[in-house]
Amino acid sequence: MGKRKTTDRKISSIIALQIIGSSLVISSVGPAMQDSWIAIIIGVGLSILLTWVYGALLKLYPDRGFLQIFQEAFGNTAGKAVCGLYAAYAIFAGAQTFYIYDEFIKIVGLNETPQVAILMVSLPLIIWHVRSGPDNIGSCAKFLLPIVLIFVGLTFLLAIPFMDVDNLKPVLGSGPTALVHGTFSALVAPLGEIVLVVPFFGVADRNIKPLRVMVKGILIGSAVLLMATLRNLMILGAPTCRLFLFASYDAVGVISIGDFVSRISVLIGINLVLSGIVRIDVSLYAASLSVSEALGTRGSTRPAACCGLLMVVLGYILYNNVLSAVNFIPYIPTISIPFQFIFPLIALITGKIKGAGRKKQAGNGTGERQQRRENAEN
Amino acid sequence: MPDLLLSIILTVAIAAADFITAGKDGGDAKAKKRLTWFSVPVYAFVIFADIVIGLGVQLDLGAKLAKLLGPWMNIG
Repeated sequence: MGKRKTTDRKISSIIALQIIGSSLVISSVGPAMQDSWIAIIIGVGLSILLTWVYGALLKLYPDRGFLQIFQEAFGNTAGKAVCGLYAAYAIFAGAQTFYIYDEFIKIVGLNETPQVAILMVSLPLIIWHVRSGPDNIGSCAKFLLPIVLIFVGLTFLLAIPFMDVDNLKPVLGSGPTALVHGTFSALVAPLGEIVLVVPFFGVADRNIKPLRVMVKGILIGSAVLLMATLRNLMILGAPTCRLFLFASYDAVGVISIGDFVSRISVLIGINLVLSGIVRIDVSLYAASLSVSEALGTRGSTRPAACCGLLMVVLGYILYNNVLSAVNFIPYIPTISIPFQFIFPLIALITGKIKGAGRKKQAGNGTGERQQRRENAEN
Repeated sequence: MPDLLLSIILTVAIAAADFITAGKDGGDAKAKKRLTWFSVPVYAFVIFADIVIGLGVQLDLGAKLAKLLGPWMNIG
């Protein structure tokens, strides 16, 4: 457990980078095609409702971390089982990100380098990062976020001469089914994954308001995601975007102003690597904390080493190549729903019922005590 | 083969670092023991998986999982 308390700015930076990093894993153009930007806007609105559930849960148990809440709400054994499931989910999410992150570095920059060489550099660093505590991850995210924001803003401005607004037309032409599908994908895959950041509130400053921090992070992250989606759509067009594995990287590769400004897709490469590291950090921290809670060793980040190795190995067991990893992305929502919606919602309802029961009991207790006092007086 | 050797070296190095630094974390002895009992089989599995992957066996479990999840995708 970190000695220092993590501040609100650090947590919102982590959330923002977690969302931005999703563009590494998930293509910016979803099932809604040219209306993907509308799907993101609707998804953001819905995700704020989702964060209300997480916020209410943290408010209901102010002295408990997110994973400890499950033990409080479901009982010790069932709560620990849920923590174990959360660990599996976090490891799976991390494996997906780690695999694509690794492949991205190999495909884009280091074609001849064996993947194990990339892992030898990145994996110990990420494990050390997580073992150093959540405050350390927050400090890194706070430092990296402005860099990512500047790079995205810069690429958007430089890409303006290459954009064609007609690529966004016909607006709402993808049809209601595709739009609903796209909204759901945006809600579950990048936005709903902030459920992995919620355990950070267990070590946060007590004075911070979780809902406000989460909404701030979501708004910053989604603004960048929206900007990147609009940029990619207007440069490449929806059908071409879907052909690329890393649409942002390829869209920005088009930019060339004179002989001076060209090949700036390296900026997107830096962005994806930076936010990818934070994304893996978040998954690894959530996984190690969940394992700790499931084993009854509260708050220890020691399982980070074995969970990190498990993430890497799982990526290679699950997928033969980057295409099979990308093909699996549409199935991620089916796996994520229980962890993002069902478990927190059941915990909230159980907590409310238990809280109401406790209040009633306390009320009855006071009534009985008062009656006894009156009897004694008589 | 060099990749297989390197990945086993990486796993062993990380496991060794984990066990060496475990004592410095603090916490009670029972908790440490429980974490050790958890990590030993995980490291064993990782080394086994390193060998399987290193020998070129392609499991592609993602595709099999996708087939399993397929019917659930059609709900709604």
